[in-house]
Amino acid sequence: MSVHMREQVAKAALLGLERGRPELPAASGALAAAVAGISSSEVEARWLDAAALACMHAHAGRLPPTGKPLAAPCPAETRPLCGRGARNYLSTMLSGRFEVALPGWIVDLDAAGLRVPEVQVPGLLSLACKNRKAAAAARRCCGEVGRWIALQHPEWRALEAAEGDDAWTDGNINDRAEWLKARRARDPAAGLRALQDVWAGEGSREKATLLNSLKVGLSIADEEFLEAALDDKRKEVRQPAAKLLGMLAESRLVQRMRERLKPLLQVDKRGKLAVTLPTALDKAAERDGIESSSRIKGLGDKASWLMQMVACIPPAEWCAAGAAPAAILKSADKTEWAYALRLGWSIAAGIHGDARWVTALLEKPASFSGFDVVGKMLQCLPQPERESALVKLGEFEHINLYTWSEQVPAAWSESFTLTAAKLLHAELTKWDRVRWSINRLPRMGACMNAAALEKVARLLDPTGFNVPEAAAAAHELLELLRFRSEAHDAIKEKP
Amino acid sequence: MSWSVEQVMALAPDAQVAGDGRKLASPGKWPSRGCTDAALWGECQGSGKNPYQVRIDLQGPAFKCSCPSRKFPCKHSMALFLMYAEAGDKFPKGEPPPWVEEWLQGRAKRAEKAAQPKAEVVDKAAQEKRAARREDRVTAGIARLKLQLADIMRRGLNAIRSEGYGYWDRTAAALVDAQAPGLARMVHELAGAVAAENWHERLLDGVARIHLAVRAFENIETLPPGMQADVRAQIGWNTPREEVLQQPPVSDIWQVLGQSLKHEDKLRVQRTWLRGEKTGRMALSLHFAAGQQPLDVSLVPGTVLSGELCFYPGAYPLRAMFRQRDTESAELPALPTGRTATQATGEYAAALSALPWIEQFPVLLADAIPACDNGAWRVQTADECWLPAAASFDGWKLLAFSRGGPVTLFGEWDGRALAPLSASARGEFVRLA
Repeated sequence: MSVHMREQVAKAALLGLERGRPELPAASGALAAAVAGISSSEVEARWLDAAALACMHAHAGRLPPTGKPLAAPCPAETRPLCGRGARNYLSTMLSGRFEVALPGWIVDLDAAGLRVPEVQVPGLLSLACKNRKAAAAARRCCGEVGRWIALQHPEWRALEAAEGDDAWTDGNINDRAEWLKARRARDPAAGLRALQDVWAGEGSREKATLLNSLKVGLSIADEEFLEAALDDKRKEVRQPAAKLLGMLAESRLVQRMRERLKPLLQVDKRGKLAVTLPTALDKAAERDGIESSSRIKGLGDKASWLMQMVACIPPAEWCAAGAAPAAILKSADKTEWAYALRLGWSIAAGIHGDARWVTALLEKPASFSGFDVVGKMLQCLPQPERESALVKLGEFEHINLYTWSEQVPAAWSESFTLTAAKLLHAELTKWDRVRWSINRLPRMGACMNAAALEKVARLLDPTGFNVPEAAAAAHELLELLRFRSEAHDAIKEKP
Repeated sequence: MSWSVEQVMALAPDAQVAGDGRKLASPGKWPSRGCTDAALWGECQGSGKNPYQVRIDLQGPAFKCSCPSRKFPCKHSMALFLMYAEAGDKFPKGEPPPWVEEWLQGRAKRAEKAAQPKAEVVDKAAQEKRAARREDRVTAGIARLKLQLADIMRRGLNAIRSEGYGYWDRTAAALVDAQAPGLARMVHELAGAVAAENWHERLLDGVARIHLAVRAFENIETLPPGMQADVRAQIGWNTPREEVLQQPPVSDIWQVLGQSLKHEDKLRVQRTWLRGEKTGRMALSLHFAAGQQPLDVSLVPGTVLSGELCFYPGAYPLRAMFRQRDTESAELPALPTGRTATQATGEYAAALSALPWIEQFPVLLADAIPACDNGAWRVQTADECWLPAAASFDGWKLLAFSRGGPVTLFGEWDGRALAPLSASARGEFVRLA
C-alpha cells in the first residue's frame, strides 16, 4: 500500500497544504515504521519527510515489467563477412567522405559474395533508400540481418516491401510504379493483369505513370491493352500508350505508320530517297500520337509530322532494298528535309536499339538538337563503342564532359579515363568556364578507372594549375581515385 | 592494440572536427608522415606557410599539434589517426624526427614526475579560514532553501509550476552564490522536469531528493563517515585530489566498459565506467570540460588497462581516480558476464539504500535482447523482464548487432530508463553512445 501513500503525498503536494492541512496518510510495512519515525514539528517539514521516504521507497521498489521477446531472431547468414580493411573503408564512406564511391564499391563487394558487419547495416540501409541504383547490391551485402531489420523500420521497410503486395495496394504512386516494374521484370503477363484489374479506377495522372512501368518486359502481348488506351479521353494517357506501341515493331500502330509513310518516303537500293511532306493530319494519325503542331525549333508542322512517323519505324527497314545506313543518310542530307529525317531516325534508332544506325548517325553529330535523343542512342551501344562515340561527340563539344558519367555510369576503360582526364585538364585550366560544374567532378571520379591512377595523376598534377580552386579540385579527384583503388583492393583481403 | 576507423571517429570532440578530419585524411595533403609501433607523426599543409606538425602517442592515446585550434584532438590529429586506422599497413614506418622524439621524451618525463608525490607548501591558516567561510555560506543557503521547500509544499507544485523555468533558475542561482553547486544542479534539473509528461511525479521526486539532502546536512554529525562524505559531495563540496589519493588504492586490470557524454550548459561531463577484472568492482571516472576545453580521450571503451584506482570516500563508492596506471592498453573483446533485469534493478535498490542520490547506476545485462515496440526501445533479459531504454536512444545499431538474439549490454540506469553505452557478442565489442 506504500505506492498508495506516495500518491496521497503527491496529491497533497500538487494542491498545496494551505488548502487544508490533512494529517499524513497511513503507510504500511517497512515504510510505516519509517514514517512513524518522522520527528519534524512543522507540518510542511513532516510532509516533505514523508515525500522523501515514500518517493525513495517507490523508486527502490520499482520492478521491471515482464513480457515475451517481441520479434523472432534473425535467420543465420549464408554470406561470409568482409574483412577488417573493407569494414574500415566502408566506415569512411558511410561517414560521408568519398560517399560517391560507395555505390560502385558495394556492387564490387556484392560480386565478391561478401556481407558487411551487423553494425554497419543501418548506415548502409539508409543509403540504399537514397540511392536506388545500388539498393539491390546493398541489400544483399546487408545479409539476412539487413532484411530482418528493414522489415522492422518505418523507412527501410520500403526496400523489402517492393516485393510484397502492400506497396501495390497501399503505396503512393511512386511505390506502385516501382512495384509494377518489379512485377513486370519477373512476370510481364502478371504485371499487365495487375494493372488491368485497377485500370478503370485510376486517375489519368496515375494511369500515365503506371503505363511507363510497362516499358519493363514490354511485348506484343501488351498491344490490346495499349490500343484501348489510345482511345482514352485524356491526352496524358494516350501519349505514353502511343509511345509504348511505337516501341513494338510488330504493333498495329507501327504498321499504320508504315502505311502512312509508304507514299511519303521511299528508299532505293543505292540509298536514294524520294521524300514528300504529308499535307494533312487525319484523326487516326492524331490517335496514334502524332502531335499536330511542331514543338521543335527549326522544324515546321508538316516536317515534324514526317519526323514523328519516321521515329516509330525500326530504321533497319529502310535498308530493305539493300542500301546501308550511311548511304541513306548521305542522300538524305542532300534533301530539304535532312534535319527532320535525321532526327526521326535518331529517335527510332534509340527506341529500337539499332547500333548500326546509331553509329552511322553519330558519324556526323553536328545536327543534333536534343540531348535526350543522343543519350538514348548511346545507350544502344556496347560500352567500348559508347565510350568512343562520346569521345567523338566531346570533340564537337556537343556533349558536355561532365555528363559522361551519366552516359557511362560505371567502370570506365583506361583509355576513356585518360581521354576524360586530358579534357578535364583543359577545362580546369580555363577555370572560369568550369566553375559551375565543378561539383560534378566526384561523379566522374567515381566512374574513372581507378587502376589508371598513376597516369591520371600525371595528367592532372595539381601543382600544374595556377588557380588554387582548380588545383584543389584536381587534388580531390586524385584522392578519390586513390581511395577507390585502395578500398577495392581491401575487398579481396582475407577477413 | 589496433585501432579501427570507428574507434578513432569516437575520439572527435564534435561533428565539425570529425568531418574536417575526414577531409584531411588523405596522404596527398601530408608532405611527410611516419610511424613506429608506439607513435605517429606527420606534417599537414595548412593555410599558413609552415605545415602543422602533428604527433600522436598511441599509448594513451595523446595528441599534439602545432595548429592554433582549441579543439582537442584537432582536425589534423584526427586526420592523421584516421589514415593510420584505415590502412595502418600503408603508413610509412620510420624513426621519429627530433620534434616528435622531444615530445615523446617530454611526455615520459612528465609521467614520471606525476608519479612522484608532490611536496606543496600550503598556507594552512588561510585555507582553514576559507573553508570556514564557505561552511557558513552553505549553511545559510541551505536554511533559505529549507524555507523555500516549505513554501513549495504550502503553495503546491501546481502553483510553482505555473511560475515557469525562471523559478527554478533563480533558486539554482542563489545556491550557486551560496557555494552549494551540487544542490544548485539538482534544483536546475527540476526546470527540465516541469516540461516532462509525468511532471508532477518527477517534480515531487526531485523536491523529495533535495529535501533529503537538506535534512541529511542538518543531521550530518549523526551519520557514519562514508555517508557524511556523500552528503557533502551532493551539496557541492569537492573532495580534494590529495584526499582521494590517500584512500587505499585498488589495484586491478580495469575494463573500460562504456562512456557517456552529457552537455550541461557550457560544461561537458564525460562519464567513463570501469570494472576491475579481478575484484569485479565498478568505478566511475568523471571528466569535466568547460567551453572549448578538451575531453579526456585516454580511456577508450572496449579496452583494458591495469592500474591503481583510489575511490572517493562514500557509503557506496563509485567515483574514482587513477593513482597510477599503465599507459599500454589492450583490446577488450567481450563485456564481462552480466545480470538479469531483475537482478540489476535489485542491485540498484541496494545501492539507493546506501546512497539515495545516485543518478546513474552502471548496469551490466546478460543475454539482453533489444526490441523496438512502436518506436520505444526496450531490452529484455532471460528472466522475461525488460528495461525501457531512454527516449533519446537510437536502437537500430544495437538491434542489427544483436541479430534479435542475446548480447551482453552495458548501460546507465537512472531508475526509469536505461541508456545503453556498449554491447558485445560473438567476440566483438561495439560502442553505442
